[in-house]
Amino acid sequence: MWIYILIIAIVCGIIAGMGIGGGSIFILLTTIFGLISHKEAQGYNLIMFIAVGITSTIYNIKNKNIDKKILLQLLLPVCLGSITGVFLLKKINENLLKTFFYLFMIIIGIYEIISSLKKIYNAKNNINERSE
Amino acid sequence: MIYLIGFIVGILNGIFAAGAGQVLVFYLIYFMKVETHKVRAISVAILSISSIFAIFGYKDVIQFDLIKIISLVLIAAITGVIGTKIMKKIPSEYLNLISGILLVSLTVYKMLVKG
Repeated sequence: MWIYILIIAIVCGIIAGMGIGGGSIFILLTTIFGLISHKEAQGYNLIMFIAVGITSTIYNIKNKNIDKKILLQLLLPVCLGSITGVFLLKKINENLLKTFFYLFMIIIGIYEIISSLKKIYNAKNNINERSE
Repeated sequence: MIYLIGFIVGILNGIFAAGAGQVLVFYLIYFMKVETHKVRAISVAILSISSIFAIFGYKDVIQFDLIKIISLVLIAAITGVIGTKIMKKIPSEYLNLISGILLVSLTVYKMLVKG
C-alpha cells in the first residue's frame, strides 16, 4: 500500500512544483484509492509541504523575492488562524470534514477554470488586435 | 483587511491542509496588487509556517513513522524541482486550467462514486 502512496506523492510533487495545487490532488487521489483516511492524507500533505516550503522560502529570502512587510503583517494572524483551525479540526467529525473539503475544492477548482479561461481569452484577443 | 485574510487563511490551512494558498494568492493579486512572482513566494512562506502549527492537529491521527516521513519529504523536494522546471515551459493560465479541471473532476468523482 505504501508504494502506491509514494507513486502518488511523486506525481503530486511534480504538480505541486508546477504551482498548481499538488496538495489537494494528493489528498483526493490517496483517499479515492482508499489508501489512507482523509485526515491522514491531510497530515502527510502538510509534512511534505513544510519540507518543500521551508527550502523554497530560504531560496526566496536569499534571492530577495519576499515582501517582508506583507510577510510580517500576515505572520501573527495566520499563526492564530492555524491554531483555531486545528482546534476546529478536532471538533469536526471525518464525514463533515470531507463534505466541507469537497465544497472548498470545487469552489477553488471552478475559480481556477474561470480565471484561466479569462486570461487565455484576453491573451488571444490581444494577439488578434495586434495582428489587425 | 490583511489581518482578517491572514486569520482566515490560517483557519483554512488548519482544517483542510490544502487550498488555502489559492485564497491568499487571490487576495494579494487582486486587492494588494502584489507582483505575481512575489505572491507565490509570500504564499509558500506563510503556509509553511501555518503548516508547522497545523501539523500538531494530526499527531493523534498519523503514526509518525520516520522512514515514511523522510521518503515523502525527499520525494516532495526532488519532484518539486522537476515540476518547477516543467512549469517554466508551459504558460501559467494553461497550468491553472488543468489544475482546475483536475480538482473539480476528482472531487466530483470522489463525492459521487466513493462517497
